Amino acid sequence: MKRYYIKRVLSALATIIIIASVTFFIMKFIPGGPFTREKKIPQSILDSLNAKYGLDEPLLIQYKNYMLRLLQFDLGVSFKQQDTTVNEMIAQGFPTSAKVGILASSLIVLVGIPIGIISALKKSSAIDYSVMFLATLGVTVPNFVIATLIIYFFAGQWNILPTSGISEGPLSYVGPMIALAGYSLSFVARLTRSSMLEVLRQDYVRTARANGLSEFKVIYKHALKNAMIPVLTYLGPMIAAILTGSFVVEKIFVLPGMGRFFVESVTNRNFTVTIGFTVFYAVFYIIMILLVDIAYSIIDPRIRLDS
Amino acid sequence: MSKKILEVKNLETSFYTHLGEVQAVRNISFDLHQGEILGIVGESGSGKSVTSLSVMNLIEDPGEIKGGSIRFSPNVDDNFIDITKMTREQISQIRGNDISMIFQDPMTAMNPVFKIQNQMVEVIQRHTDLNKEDAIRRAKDLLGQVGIPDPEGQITDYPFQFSGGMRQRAMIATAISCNPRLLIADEPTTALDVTIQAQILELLKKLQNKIDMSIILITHDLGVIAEAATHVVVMYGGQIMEKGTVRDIFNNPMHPYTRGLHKSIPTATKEKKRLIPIEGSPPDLLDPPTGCPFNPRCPHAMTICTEESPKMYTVSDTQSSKCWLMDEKAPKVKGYKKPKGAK
Repeated sequence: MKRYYIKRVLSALATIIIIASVTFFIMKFIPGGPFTREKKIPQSILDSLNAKYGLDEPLLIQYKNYMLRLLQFDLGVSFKQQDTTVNEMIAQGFPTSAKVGILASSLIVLVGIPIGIISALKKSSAIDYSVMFLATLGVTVPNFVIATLIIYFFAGQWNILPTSGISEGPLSYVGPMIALAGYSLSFVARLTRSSMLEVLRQDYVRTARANGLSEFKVIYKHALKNAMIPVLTYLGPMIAAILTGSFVVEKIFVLPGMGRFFVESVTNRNFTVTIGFTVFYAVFYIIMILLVDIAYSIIDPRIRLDS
Repeated sequence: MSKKILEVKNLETSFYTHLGEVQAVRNISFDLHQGEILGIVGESGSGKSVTSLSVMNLIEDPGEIKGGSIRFSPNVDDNFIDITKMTREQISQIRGNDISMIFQDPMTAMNPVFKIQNQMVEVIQRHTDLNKEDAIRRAKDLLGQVGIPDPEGQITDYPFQFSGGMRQRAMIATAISCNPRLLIADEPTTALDVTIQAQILELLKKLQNKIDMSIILITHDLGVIAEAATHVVVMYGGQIMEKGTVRDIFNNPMHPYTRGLHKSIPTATKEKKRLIPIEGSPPDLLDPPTGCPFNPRCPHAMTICTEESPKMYTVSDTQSSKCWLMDEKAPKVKGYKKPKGAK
C-alpha cells in the first residue's frame, strides 16, 4: 500500500518535469519573443535585455538554468509586469480563482449529484425528463452565454447581482459561480443518473432487495457507493480545472483571477509566466488525481487490496 | 402429508417490452409442503427463474405479476398471506426472513464494496433484535455452518477475496441467517465447477434437514434434480408440462417433453448410446403457439395439440401431466399409460 503511493508520487514528479520541459521548448520554438514589438527596438537594447534575463545563452543552458530554478520553486520573473515574479502573480490571481472555483465545485457536488440520483430513481417521469432537458442544455450552452444571460437578467434587468468585480462581497461571487458550474453541474447530474441506473440493474442490488433490506438502504447504501465511482473519476480533474480559473468567465465578470494572466502570457510570449502557470496547473491537476485515487481506494476495496 | 407452506395458483407474469408483451409465465399452479425440495427444471426461457422471482415478488419494471395468487404461510399457524397483494414494506419483512433467495452467479450477487460481515450483519439486524456483537457472532457461526474454514478471520474479507464456491457459501449463510421457512435457489450451482456443485447441493440438503425449511431449486440440469430434489416441476414455454415426485419424473415420465429431456442427457452406463436432442427451438413467448407450447417439437403431436391447450391430467396421486396423450380419446402411444378414469 505504502509502496503504491510512493510509486504514485514519484511518477507524478516525473510527469511534472516532462510537462515543464515540453512547455519550455514549445515556447522557445514559436516565433517571436517577449521583447518583440511592432516598433523596431535597437539591437543594442535587445542584446542587453537578453543578456539581463540570460536569454543570450545557448538553449540547453537556458533550459538547465530554468529547471534548476524550478526545483527551488522559483518560477522566474515576468517579462511584462515590472519587478513581478511569476510566484507573485500566482499568489495574486489564485485566491480569487480558487474562491470562485470552490464555490462552483460545491454547487456541482451538492446539487449535481442529488438531482442525478432523483432523476435515476424517477426514471421516465416528468421530473426525470425536465431535469435531463435542463442538463442537456447545461452541457451544450457555452459558459459565456450563461455568463452573459446572468449579467443581463440578474444584474441588468432585476438588479439583484453586481455586474462585475468582487467589490460587493459575497453577492459578487454568485454570477461567476453559476456560470463556471453550469457545464460540470449538468455533466455530473447526467453521469450520476446513468451510473445509478447502471448500478440499480446489478445483481447485488437484487440480492439486497431479496434479503429484505429497506428500499432506503438498498439505494443509499448498496447502490450509491458503487454508483459514485465513475462520478469521482470526473470530479477530481474537474475540480482542478475549475479552481485554477476560467479565462472566459473571469474576463466577463472582470475578476482578478489567474486565467487572464495565463492567456495574455501566451500572446505576449511571456514564457516564464506561461511555463510557470502550466507547471502550477499541472501540479494541481496531478494532486487532484492523486486525491481521487486515494478516495477510490477508500470506496473500492478491490483497488486498495489488489495492489 | 406434511403441511402446505406455499400455494401458487394460476400465476401469470409478463414483461412489457417495446416489441410487445412477453408472457414469461402462463397460468401455472403448484404447491409446496414443508420439508420438500422442489426442483423446477426447464431450458432457458422456460419461465423458471421468473416463477421464482414472482414468489419473492421481485419482478421489476417492465415486468408485472398479471394474475393469480401466491399464498405463503410464514409460520406454523397456517395463516396464509398472498404475496402478490403485499406492499413493498410488508414484503421486505418477509424477504430474507421467512423466504430467502440465493442466485445463480455468486461473483456478482454480493456487493463488491462491502465486507462479508457488513452484508451479513445488516440482514440479521434487519430481521432480528440482535445487537451488533451478537449479530456478528451469529454471522460467524453461520459461516462456520456453511463450511467457511476460518470464519473468524474471513468474515472481514471482501467478496472478491472469496472464490466462487466460497461466495455461494456466504450467500447461503446470509440466506439462512433468519431460519427461513422457504429457500429459493435459482441455479445455485450453474456458475460453479462440478466438484463444488456437489458440495453446495450437499450443503443445501444438510441445512434443509437441520432447520426444517423447504427449498425451491431452479435448474436446467436434471442431474442436479436427481441429486437433490424430492419433487419436480418441469416447465416449458412458461407453462408446467409435468409435475410429480422425483421418482415419478425419472422412472415414469408421462410427458413427451420430459422424455425428450431424459434422452438428451448422457448416462454413465457402459452402453454407448447416441444422445437424442429435442429438435427445434423453444417457443417465442412474445407470440406463443396456440395449443400446447411443445407441439412444434413434439414427436407425437396431433391435430388437437395445435388447436387447444391440454389440461393438467392427473396421472397418479403425486403426478400430473399436461398432455393430450393422457386423454381417454387419444390414440395409444407406446410407453404412455393413460391414467385410469381419465376424462
